Amino acid sequence: MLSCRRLRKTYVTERGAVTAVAGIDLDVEPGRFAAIIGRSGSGKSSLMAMLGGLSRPSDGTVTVEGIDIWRLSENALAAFRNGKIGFVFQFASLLPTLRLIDNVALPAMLGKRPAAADIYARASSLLGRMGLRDYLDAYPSEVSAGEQRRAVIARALINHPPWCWPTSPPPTSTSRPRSRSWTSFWASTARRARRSSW
Amino acid sequence: MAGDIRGVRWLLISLALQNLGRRKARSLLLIAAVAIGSAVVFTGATLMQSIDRSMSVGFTRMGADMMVVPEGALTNIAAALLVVEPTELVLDADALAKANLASVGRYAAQKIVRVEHSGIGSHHDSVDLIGFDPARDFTIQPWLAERINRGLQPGDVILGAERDAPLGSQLLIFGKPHTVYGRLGRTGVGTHERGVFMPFATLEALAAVIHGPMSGGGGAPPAALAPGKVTGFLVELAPGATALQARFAILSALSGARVVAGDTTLSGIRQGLAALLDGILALMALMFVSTALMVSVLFSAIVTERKGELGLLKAIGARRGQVIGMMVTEAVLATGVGGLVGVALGVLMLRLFERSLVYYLEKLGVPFVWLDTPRTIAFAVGAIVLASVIGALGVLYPAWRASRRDAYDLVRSEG
Repeated sequence: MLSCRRLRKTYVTERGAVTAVAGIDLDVEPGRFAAIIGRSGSGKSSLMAMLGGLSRPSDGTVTVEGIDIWRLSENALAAFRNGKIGFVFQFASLLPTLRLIDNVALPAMLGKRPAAADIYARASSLLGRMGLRDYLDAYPSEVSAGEQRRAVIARALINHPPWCWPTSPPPTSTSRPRSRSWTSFWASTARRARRSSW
Repeated sequence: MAGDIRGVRWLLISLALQNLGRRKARSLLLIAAVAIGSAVVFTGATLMQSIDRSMSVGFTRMGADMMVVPEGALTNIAAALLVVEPTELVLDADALAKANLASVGRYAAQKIVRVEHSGIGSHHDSVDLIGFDPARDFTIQPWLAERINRGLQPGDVILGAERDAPLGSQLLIFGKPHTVYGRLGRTGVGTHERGVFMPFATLEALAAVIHGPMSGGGGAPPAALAPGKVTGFLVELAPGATALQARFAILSALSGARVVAGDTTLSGIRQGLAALLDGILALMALMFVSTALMVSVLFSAIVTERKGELGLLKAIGARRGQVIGMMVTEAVLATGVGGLVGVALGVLMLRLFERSLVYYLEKLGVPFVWLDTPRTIAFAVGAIVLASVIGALGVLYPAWRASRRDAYDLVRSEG
């Protein structure tokens, strides 16, 4: 279960305090899909960042699987982000100096889970499923924006995260019908990722 | 093979290396700045140590702070050392021991006899035979430029720099065989450069056969060869004692003696050099701090530029230590390479120094002793390590600050 209570985020700017998120209560059951929608600047990203352990709330609590994540130590919070959540950011988020396969393998390498060979095998498999089998050694600058975003999805799934945090629409792909909705895309992607094993 | 496997450390080092490569001009400027600093530190430290050693050896070679001779004796205050000219005037060998003066640190007695027809050099060559006490001597043995590989024994002689008999060979003095034990370096004093030095016992053993100019041409042997008599003493001041204190103490304790002090300008030069070396040390410390500050400012800018990347690393689970480690690795690589280049530059500077100033100093007879190779290598390694430490210290604060920030803030603030 993912829950938040009285979640608040206030940014201090030169023009004074700006409240981006004002007292949100939310519960999401495991296996459910929840979409947060709203107009631009309504605080969606700030809310997602607090729920995902990326941005400390000004007030309120975030509980994931019974753990108040903002009471965790720095290293424990890093481990939480690494193992529990697969982020897909809305901005270009591949490290430009690493190959696609290194980018995908990196979260698992940071988490020191299986052996490097197993991590790279899974990274290769995930990239293959995203239609990027021929680009394992390519650098981000050598592939298109859409291919980069598919690599980001592969990276988000590398550690089998129980929670997936896509903050952008699904990428277009020649291998997937364009008519598919965003939610169903993430649902099927996550299901297939979970079924796979190391 | 496609998708070669890389460890996490390799990935983070690769990130650091490639980040340096992304901004080539900036990385090269950083390396150049650190290289200059390291070259100055390495060259400065090596030269300072070499000068310090040269000063130490040089001043040890000076022999003494003052000389005690019989009143009326001829003295020669050469640039490099105090020298007493041979005369028939002598002092009691135990005069200073009996006086037991607090202002006298240590002293070395010498017996000096000028002889002709000794068998050394040409027939009428005038040679100074100089006797010393090997156990107490601190004025002759420091000048040894070369010697055979054993201790000084009775029957051994040490030659002045101008005498060219090979080490270990037999030298006949008044028909008696002596072994050439060693040879002195250049002193700049002619009588010493042509002199023959030997232990008291060896010199006294020649008393019966010496009939030199001082002996009255065939009369009694020179007075200095009489047991219990010496030509003079070379004196080193006790720590903290002044030349004036020692002079008054000696003159009041020894009747018929004369005190000759060394050239005070040498002390002035020594103090001046010591102050100069302290100044260089202070400048080097300032340079170290300013380079560390420069690296810190530069890496503050680099960290600001790469907030997005650091935020992303944090978002996917990099721990603070890993984020800081990556930045420190980057800085250490850049400044370490700078240190390496700096040492290479420093070696070139030292070669230049050797071919110019040291060459002229040695031509003037001023000794310059280079630091030994192991210590020079240690200084080179030290300069490289120091450069790396500067990088690590310089980046530590900006990296630590960035690592404290929320991942989302880092990503957002990049724009």
